[in-house]
Amino acid sequence: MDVITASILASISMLITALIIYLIYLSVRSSGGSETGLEPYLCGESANDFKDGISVGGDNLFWGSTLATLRRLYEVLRDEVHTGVLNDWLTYMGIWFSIATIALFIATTASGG
Amino acid sequence: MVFDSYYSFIHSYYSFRWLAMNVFELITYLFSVLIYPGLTFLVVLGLLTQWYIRKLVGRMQNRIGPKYVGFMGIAQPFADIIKLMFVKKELSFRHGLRSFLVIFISLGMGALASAMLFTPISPYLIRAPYDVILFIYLMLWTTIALALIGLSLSNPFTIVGSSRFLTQVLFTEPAIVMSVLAAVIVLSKDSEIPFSIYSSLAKYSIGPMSTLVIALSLISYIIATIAKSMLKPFDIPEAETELAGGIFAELSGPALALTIVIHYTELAFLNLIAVLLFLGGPYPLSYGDPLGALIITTKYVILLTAITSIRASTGRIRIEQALTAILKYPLTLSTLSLIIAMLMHIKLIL
Repeated sequence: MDVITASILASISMLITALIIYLIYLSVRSSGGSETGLEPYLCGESANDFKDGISVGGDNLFWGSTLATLRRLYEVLRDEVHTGVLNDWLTYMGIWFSIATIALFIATTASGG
Repeated sequence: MVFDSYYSFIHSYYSFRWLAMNVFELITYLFSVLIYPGLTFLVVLGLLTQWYIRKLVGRMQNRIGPKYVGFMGIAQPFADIIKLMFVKKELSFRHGLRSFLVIFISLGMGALASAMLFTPISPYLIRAPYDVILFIYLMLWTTIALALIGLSLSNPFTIVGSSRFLTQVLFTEPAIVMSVLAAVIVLSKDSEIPFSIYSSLAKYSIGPMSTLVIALSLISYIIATIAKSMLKPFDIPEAETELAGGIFAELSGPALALTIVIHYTELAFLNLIAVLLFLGGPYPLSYGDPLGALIITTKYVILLTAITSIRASTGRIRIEQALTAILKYPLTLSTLSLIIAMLMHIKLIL
């Protein structure tokens, strides 16, 4: 079997299964009944008590990856690469394209191309 | 005249045979997708996996664990799901996209059932050159589904849970993908179908360097599986005491049942793939052997016991500690194993 046939068969089986699960869900939900329009669950707090609303800010969402774990990487990128000096930018792009070229060379050699 | 009737008889015979063969193939395909090793098998395996984890963690923490429904409480997860599906009401919160999240859970389950067709335990086989890419693509769907559960609700707890899950996945998915790729590169070497999951799983005898690659990939894959399945110590996305359940905070009724099912089905699927890909499946027997299933089950339970022991004996770590741990161990090991596998492929290392 070729890759196209395999992709089509895999997609069809995925969609058939998904459709069956969704239909089961719809039939069960309509028979069980549901309550709609409830306020978000905030452990007993009222949404009106929050001055800025109950949405979560972008800084908080990415805190784990940007500030806590990859802080040093971002500092290097900000302070040493994006300094605003053209030569720094050229050096950065030169290094980046070199790495990409080496990766491409390894990939083409590995695939026998 | 005689010739014409003979010809039409032969023609109708071959048409019937062609139709019968295609109908048989279609029935095998549907059976594989919906019954074994597809949807039904995966759901049952996932719920049995949940029972085993709950029971073992209970015993390790000096508790009884599931007890009342069935022998040693083995039917407890099934009873929980039936109760949530048919008895409990589903609560719908303002600004929530309920149908959206259920569609993605269904697609995630469908992707797992579809991915099982690539393994040799399936009666209907999908095998093609480079199908490992397709397999990895199908494996990623459950991650998307779980992340979208939190993002489709307007609750800050679920959104923070999803953002933590996505942050964790940013580091675990490359580890899982590189481990699988490294193993497939090494195992599908010299096979008729290159980079195919089937040819990788059906191979048993490998050299010492390949064994090193498989061992490194296995360690990386197991740690990444624990993190991807949000088991302790990597359960910060669903931290009950801090985020009231995180991703799962606002779910109830049938939607919660489907979420529990996809959560444990994914764990069962990842564990089963580890057994088939890294631990040789039914080795020293073959896939056709009736006792092979017993060996696969034994390996599955041993691996699950190792994962459960880690889950029971560790405490929750913070998100940045989790990310640092994933960067240090699974990501480094899987990168190393992939580099060795690629060097072996271009014959720089024998």
